[in-house]
Amino acid sequence: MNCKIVLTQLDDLLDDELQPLEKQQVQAHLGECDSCHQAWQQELQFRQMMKDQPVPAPDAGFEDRIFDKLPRTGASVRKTAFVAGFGGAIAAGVMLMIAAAIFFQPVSQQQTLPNITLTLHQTKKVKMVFDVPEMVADATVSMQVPDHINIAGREGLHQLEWKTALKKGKNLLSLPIVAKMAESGELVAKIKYGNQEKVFRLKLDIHSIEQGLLNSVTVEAV
Amino acid sequence: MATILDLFSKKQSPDEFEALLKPHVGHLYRVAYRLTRQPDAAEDLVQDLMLHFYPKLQELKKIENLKPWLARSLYNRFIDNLRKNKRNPISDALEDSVLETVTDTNLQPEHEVEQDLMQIRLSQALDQLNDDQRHVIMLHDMEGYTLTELADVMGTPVGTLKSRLHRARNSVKETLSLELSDTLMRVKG
Repeated sequence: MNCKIVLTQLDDLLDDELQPLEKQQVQAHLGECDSCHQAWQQELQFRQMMKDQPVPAPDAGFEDRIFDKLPRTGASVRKTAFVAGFGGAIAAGVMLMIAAAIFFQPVSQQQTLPNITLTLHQTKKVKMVFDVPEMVADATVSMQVPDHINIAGREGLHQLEWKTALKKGKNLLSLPIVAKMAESGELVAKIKYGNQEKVFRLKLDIHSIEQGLLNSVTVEAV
Repeated sequence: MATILDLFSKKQSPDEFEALLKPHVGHLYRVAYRLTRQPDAAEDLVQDLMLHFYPKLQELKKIENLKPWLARSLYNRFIDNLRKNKRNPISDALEDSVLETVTDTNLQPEHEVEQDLMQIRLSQALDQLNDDQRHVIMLHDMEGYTLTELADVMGTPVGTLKSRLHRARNSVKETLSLELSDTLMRVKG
């Protein structure tokens, strides 16, 4: 069995879809061929990464809530938030907070906000909390940092964009960033939904340990 | 008389329904989470399914293997809701958005930081897939359903699922390709 065939059968081997003889042949080849063995290891890593993707535990009392909501008589069945949220109009807004690890300080839309201050070359984890009154099923979130600020562990990557469902309530996202130069910068966060887009600009002050620079900044919603 | 007796025999209590379905709600929640990708929507989907089946206890009792049957029903319900949602786009959700800030002085251990990013990157990679590909890779590679089981759950032939899965994996790998090994080492390190 040659490498070309073996590489096409790695998925089937992992999925236990090979016939016994094929399985034996592929395994024998993997024992002898370094490059195929390396591909096999990468495939194992990929599968493990997929398996490791967590499912967050439901909120406490999940099972009780499920069964407590059953109608006790033959009365009409209540529509759930899922159905209403998917099918109905959501008239409320979305709030994005860059928040501390544990607590949140609600403020009004137009106020001057505490600045984000980074110490040069030190990683700071910024936590963003999207507080949504109703579920938004298909939002696109993007984050952009300037060239002299890195996303920790991802040097050279300055922009992230992904689609996500925003649940009702607080949606947490963490972004670890590290400054490479003592220059102010701006983190741009965008939320898109349908034909709507909201842009938030958050100024970042950077100081070296000796400087201790701190300035207040205004976050502007465009 | 037979009709009256039938009516009595169909009378049910929430306890009876709960005893039959409770062993399955944890698993249904996991499947619902993989489909909806957010906890509240997953819970609502399971709730929606329970409410739908509550008046049908007698039918449920006749089903031999409830687990795959319920998973299939959940999947069908999710797809129905998704279609309804696509017919009713929402346009004003962001109108009153605001941004607030508080600084965070805590540093996270490096592996946790990497894991957050890895999840974002995987989420981005999954976003590149179409719905069919995303559902099959999440239920197969994350939840451990076999292709045969998924053929039943999704009402799709095994061969079709297999090629969807293959394309989905290749697409995810391509999106993650540059640093997959490196990142996994960091996450596990």
